[in-house]
Amino acid sequence: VTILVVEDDQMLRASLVTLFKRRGYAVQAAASGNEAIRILSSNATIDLILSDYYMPDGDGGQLLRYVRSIDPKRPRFIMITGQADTSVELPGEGIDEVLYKPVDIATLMTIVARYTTP
Amino acid sequence: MSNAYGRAISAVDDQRAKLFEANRLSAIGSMACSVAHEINTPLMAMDIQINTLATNLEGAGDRAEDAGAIEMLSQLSKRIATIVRGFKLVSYSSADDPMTDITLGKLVESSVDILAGRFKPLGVKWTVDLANPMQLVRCRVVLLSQVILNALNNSCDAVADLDPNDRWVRVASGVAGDKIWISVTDSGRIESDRVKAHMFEPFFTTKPIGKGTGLGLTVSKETVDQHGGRLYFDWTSPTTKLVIELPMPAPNGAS
Repeated sequence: VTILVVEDDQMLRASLVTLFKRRGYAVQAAASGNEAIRILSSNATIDLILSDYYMPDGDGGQLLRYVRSIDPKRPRFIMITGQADTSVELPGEGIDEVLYKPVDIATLMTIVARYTTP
Repeated sequence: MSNAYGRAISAVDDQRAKLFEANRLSAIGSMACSVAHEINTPLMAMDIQINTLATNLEGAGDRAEDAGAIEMLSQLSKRIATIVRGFKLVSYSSADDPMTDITLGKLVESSVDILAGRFKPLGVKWTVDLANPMQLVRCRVVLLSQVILNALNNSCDAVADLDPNDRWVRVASGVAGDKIWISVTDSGRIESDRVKAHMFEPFFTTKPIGKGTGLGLTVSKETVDQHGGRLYFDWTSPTTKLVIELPMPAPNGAS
C-alpha cells in the first residue's frame, strides 16, 4: 500500500513519512500540490493521498480536482487542514475524509487503515 | 477652574485609553486564528516525533533515529515559542512599554511571522525587503509592533477580495536623510477620494460590520506621532502603500 504525503511544512512532512514507513506503508512525499501532480502523472501507483489544504504552488483543492478528473474514486483522498476555523468551507466533493490539525496519531492511523484496507 | 479643566482632560484621556484598549482587543481576536493555524502544524509534527521516541524505547531502539527525533522536537518547540512571543506583542497591554532600541529586522520580522498564519490560508504572497535590517530604532516596541501588525492586517483584508493570483504584501525599509522609513505595500487600490480623506478618522471603516473597529489607523497614527514620526499613505504608489516614518535615533543613544 502506497501513501502520498503532500505537505509544505518540511518538518511535518518528514515526520509523517517516518510515521507511515514505521507502520509498514510505502510512502512518497511532495511539498506542494503541483509536485504531487508530477508524481501522480509519472505513473506512480498511489493508493491514498494525505494532503494539506493550504499550500503555495498548488493547494489541496487543485490537487483534488486533478485527481478526481482522472478517477472519481481512486486514489482515496484525505484532506488535512491547519485552519482552526472549522466554518471555512473545504471542497467536499471527492474527499473521503477531512481532518483538522493537530490530529492525534491513533486517529490518523485508524482513518488511514480504513481507506487502505482492500 | 484649573481643577475642572484637569478633570476634563483626564476624562478625555480615559476615553482615549478605552479606545486604545478596544482596538487592542479587536487585534487579538483577529490574530488568534492565525496563531492557532501556525501552531497546529509543528504540534502535530511533535506528536509524531514523541511517538517515534516512545516506540523506540519499547523495542530495540535506534540511537541515530532518537537523536534525529530529539533534534526535531527541539526545533519545533522553538518555532512554537517564536510564534507565542510574537503573539504577546499584540496581546500585551502597552502600559509597561519603555523606549527601547531594537533593530528594524527584529521589529518587522516578528510582526510578519505572526501574520504568516493569516496570509497562507488566503494565498497572499508576502516579501520582506529591508535595506537596513541592522538599523536601530528607538521605540516602544509593543506599540510600534502593533502599528506594523495593524498595517499588515489591513493589507490582508484588502487583498483577500482580489483575484487569488494578485494577492501580495511587501514590507520594505530604508533611510532617507535623518528619517527611517518602513513601508507596507499591498496589491490593493484605494480609489475613493472620500475614503482617502477620512481614513485616519476614528470609527471610519470600509470593512463590513464586526470586522473593523475603525480605530486601527487612528491609534497607529497617534502612536507614530508620539514617536516623533509620521504615518501617511504614499499616493504616488500605483497600489496602496502605507509609510511609517521615524526619526533616526541619536548615535550616542541619548534621546
